[in-house]
Amino acid sequence: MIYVVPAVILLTVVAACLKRKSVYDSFITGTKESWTLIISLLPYLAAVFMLIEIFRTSGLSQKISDVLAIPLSWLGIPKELCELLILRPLSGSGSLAVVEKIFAYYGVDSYVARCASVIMAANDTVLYITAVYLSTSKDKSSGAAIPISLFTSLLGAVTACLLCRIM
Amino acid sequence: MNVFFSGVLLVCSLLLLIFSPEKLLDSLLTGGSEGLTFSLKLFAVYAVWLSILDLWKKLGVDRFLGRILSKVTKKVFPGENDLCYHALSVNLSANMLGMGGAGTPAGIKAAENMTSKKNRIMLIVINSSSVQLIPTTIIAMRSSYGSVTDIILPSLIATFVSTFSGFLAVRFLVK
Repeated sequence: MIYVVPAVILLTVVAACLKRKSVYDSFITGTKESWTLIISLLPYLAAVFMLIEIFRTSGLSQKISDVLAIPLSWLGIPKELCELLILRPLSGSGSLAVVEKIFAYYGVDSYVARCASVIMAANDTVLYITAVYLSTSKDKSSGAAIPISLFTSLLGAVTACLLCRIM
Repeated sequence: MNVFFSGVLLVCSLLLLIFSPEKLLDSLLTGGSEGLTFSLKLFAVYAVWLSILDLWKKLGVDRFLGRILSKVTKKVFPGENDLCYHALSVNLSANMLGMGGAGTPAGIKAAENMTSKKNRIMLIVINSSSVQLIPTTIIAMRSSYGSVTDIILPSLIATFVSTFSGFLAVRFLVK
């Protein structure tokens, strides 16, 4: 899979050269577009990151994990994964750090570590995606998107733990 | 988003006020500057991919992907224009291959050009539940820890379950 990205880029440039398209101009256009995009994204990202930071330092994430540990265990999710489950919808880098800790502590081939890997694969960062995807739309209300996404994340996690037990 | 944001912020500030008031402003500031650092990283990522996407537009790759995926996109996101469908196909195919750098800007364009709010919610839910077929980051991390077990098949099934349930939920619950 490490070849996909380089191959896509190389193929694109080769095709562009063969068809005599101006590659340099495209890179200028793309970079310009990226700059305007980032300027409009920045306020959303900064606000989301503030919320994530305060969510962690206030200990609320830890408290929610503690409270949810028991009902989640009924669904077959081990208590070691509660923190990951809470952080996964909020922060990509934050949840990767938790997974790294789980790998180091329990061993990468343990049941908990395999569950953590599949949970990471099955879900994405809900909050970030919602904020970013709506950043340039005229209608910025997300409606039911966040509650539904959080529910499907939970469903993905339950499936992940179930599959790791039987596979 | 507004309800969610104010709710979490309210509870967190209250907790910090009671247990460690000195950390409240500090953590907001740290978060803000982390947001800026992250934006700069994203600038580089999107600069590369938006350039590649611009070349794709010149080469007609987005129209080609749009034609291949049109059966799926027109069913899942009914009643949008061609510009939106092209962006949607680039969004979905790039994210399936794990090229989030190309997928996200295309998704933003698709959301911008959407007329139906339900379709926009569908786009967010489908992307939030991850459409990536092979979880490259996690696999790389696992192999660096010397993993001997494989997680690709369970990942594929779990991704399918979360994405499909999201699709059903939006289709039948959102007005």
